[in-house]
Amino acid sequence: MNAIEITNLHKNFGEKHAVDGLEMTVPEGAIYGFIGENGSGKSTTEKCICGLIPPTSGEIKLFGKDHKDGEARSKIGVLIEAPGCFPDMTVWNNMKLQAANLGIKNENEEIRRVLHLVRMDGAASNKFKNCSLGMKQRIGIAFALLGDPKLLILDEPINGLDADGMRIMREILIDLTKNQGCTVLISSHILGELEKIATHYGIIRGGRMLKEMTAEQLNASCPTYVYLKAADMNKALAACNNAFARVEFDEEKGEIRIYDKLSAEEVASYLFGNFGISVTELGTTKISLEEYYIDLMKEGK
Amino acid sequence: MSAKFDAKDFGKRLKTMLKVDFRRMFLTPTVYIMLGVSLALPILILVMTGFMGGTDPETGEQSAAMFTNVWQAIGSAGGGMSMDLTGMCNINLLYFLVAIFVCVFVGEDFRSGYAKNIFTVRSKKLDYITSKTVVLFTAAVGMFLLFFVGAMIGGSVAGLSFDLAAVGASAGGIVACMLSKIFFALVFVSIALTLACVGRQKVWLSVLCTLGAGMLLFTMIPMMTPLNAGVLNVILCVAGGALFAVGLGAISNVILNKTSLV
Repeated sequence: MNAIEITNLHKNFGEKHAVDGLEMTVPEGAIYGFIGENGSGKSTTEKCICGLIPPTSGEIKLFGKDHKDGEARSKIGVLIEAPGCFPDMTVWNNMKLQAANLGIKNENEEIRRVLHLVRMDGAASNKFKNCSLGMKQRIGIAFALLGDPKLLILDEPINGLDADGMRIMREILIDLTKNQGCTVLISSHILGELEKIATHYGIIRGGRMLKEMTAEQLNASCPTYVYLKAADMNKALAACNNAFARVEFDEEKGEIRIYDKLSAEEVASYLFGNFGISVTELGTTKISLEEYYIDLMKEGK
Repeated sequence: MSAKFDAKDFGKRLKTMLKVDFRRMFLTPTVYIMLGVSLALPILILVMTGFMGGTDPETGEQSAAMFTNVWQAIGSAGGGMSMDLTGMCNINLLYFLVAIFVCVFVGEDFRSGYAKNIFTVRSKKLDYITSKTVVLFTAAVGMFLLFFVGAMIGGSVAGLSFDLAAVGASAGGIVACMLSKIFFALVFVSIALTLACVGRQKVWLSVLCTLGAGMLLFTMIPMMTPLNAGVLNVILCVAGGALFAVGLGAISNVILNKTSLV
């Protein structure tokens, strides 16, 4: 069963089409990286899923049920924009309110559990307004985790987190999906972090789904290549163009990229052995999600 | 699964929502400020205006105190609205205080983003409206009762008369008057709640609109809730309060369902 299934979703704000016929499928147990430029409709879509914005038209299903269904909605944990805490209240009291809102019976135990998960055990007695940005973000995640949700919707959850915070977040999300059967929809501009955990991707642009794929499909679309720099770049480029099937020159980095299935050593020895070209920089790497995304956006334009 | 949540049953949903709202109310300082003001206001009014009466030692001029009887702080027996200070500075002021409290309380839900947490897991906006109406009405009851207590304290300190007959009232009439006033507060709670659902983060807008609407109803209060009120007054106020709560509750529900909540 799919955790989220969106069909032909539209959301208009006056003349502006924030979401324009979006189709989206998030399989159960996936970590779905939801990517798009600012204003592409990510947050609006997430708010529609959570019932915070009524869609203009279209269908949203959560675990096979309409998104307005109370039972389906009770399975969601959300962090959109900010945690939604009262600044003058302590973290503990804020969490007690949310626990009561969720109808959790063993409140104290559950709050301690989620605070421990995000390594915020010591912050319970702090007033929310006195917490740092990173702490607030972790508290927001703890909020979303209250009541063992089956679907987590996280909008830019790693913004403001330090390296340790990001690592903890990765561990939590992987544990939730692998061991607790939770599904995660996560939108973020920090694509490098997203790439480490996502099992599925959805790339949105202008309110429409540009591409939806699994991590395996992304891997297949992001080939490994050999990059090199040489003393005489013009000669090296000409030689590579003659010898290899797919060669590109990255002007920004000033490097030659060879996409043939060759090792870096093979390329270097070929250039030196046949043309006497000495390579100054050499390596093998893979197109990152960020590069893939930027290329996709350029193609769209 | 450590959490248990049953979203199907309206009774259970409302029970958890009420628990949240009551807890939220008692954890925020606003309610204590409002209750404190409700208690202090009559004491201040009665004691301060008590000093205004008497003989001027320099000119020897006689002036009457604004309040001569403690029950004037609760209302007048005639049912008409007197435009002097006693008619303006009595318990009826609380209606405005209640309206402001409702707007601030609901506005805080939206300003803090807390409403997001509620509406994500609760698809039925009616739970929110019903619970807020009950909780805020309870606060209003507390404010009216504290004003009454404050009036008694203030009257004692200022040495005012407690003679019921002098103001054309009876003990039963006072009880009916207070009940009428309390139930009439439901009208103000409902209006303020609806306008707060419209204004949301813009608390100033909700407050202004509510005060404007309150001004229109203000002249009706002395007629509906005189000092010599009877059972009919109580019934009318209960019916009016219920009618407003149900009618405006339905409108608020539509507003929350049809518009963006963030």
